[in-house]
Amino acid sequence: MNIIKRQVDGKPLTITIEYPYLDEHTKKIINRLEQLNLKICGNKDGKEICISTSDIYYIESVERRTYIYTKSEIYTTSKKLYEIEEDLHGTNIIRISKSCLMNAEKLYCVRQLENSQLEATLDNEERLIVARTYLKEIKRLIQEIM
Amino acid sequence: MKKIIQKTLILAALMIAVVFLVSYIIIGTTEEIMLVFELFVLAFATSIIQYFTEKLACEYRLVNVVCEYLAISIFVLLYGYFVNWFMKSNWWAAFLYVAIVYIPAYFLDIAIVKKDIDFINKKLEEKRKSENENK
Repeated sequence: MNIIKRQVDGKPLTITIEYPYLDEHTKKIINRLEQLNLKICGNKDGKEICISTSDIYYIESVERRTYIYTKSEIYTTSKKLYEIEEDLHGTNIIRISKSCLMNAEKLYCVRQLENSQLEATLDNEERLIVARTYLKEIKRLIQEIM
Repeated sequence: MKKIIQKTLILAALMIAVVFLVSYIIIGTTEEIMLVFELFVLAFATSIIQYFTEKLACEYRLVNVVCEYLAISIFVLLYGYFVNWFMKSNWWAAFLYVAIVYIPAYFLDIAIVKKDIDFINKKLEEKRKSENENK
């Protein structure tokens, strides 16, 4: 497989896949890219904005409201956390606790706190509590995507 | 190694179940045969209790472990009375047996979690290095 990367100014990110025939490996790559291109809609200042999953850092449910966090913005959505989890099944966004989904692509490190709680630090230095039951799933996904 | 140990334990459980089931069919009920089946029932019930305590788990690991330990010990105590394992004078034996299982399991869990965290952090570090090299 050849990977050709080039910077083209003034154009959106474009990925072209050329293949001699569509085998399982190629299908897997295409599926992965399509998952990365998934969007979910959120509201900010009364406007509906569709956010690419690759821009999402984490999604949290607080007092029956669901918030979508990107690097610097916060959006709300009327969807329940479990509905978003179902919509984003197969992407890098996974459940890390009862009230939170995290984008594993944005994970910087995981550590165990003194009280045995687990804490995930994201690329933007946000810290999230990870339930132990979901640690195996994070490990599996990290293994898969890296 | 972990998978081999898991398979060994599952295989051992199956062998015990089959041997004692055949014995039960051929010679009927004995104390030993009943004890084995009672232990299987206890293991099944314990797994169900663990499943529900995990669902209700809070953020503090120690609190979860203590709650799970108490729930299972109380169940073992009641079940033990039901199948005549314990006398009224040695009711504390249920808590002792469960503690003997739980204390090593707690430390084993801490070691496994540490290993998983180290693995995740190592992979993330490798990813960052490879991204820096590609820049």
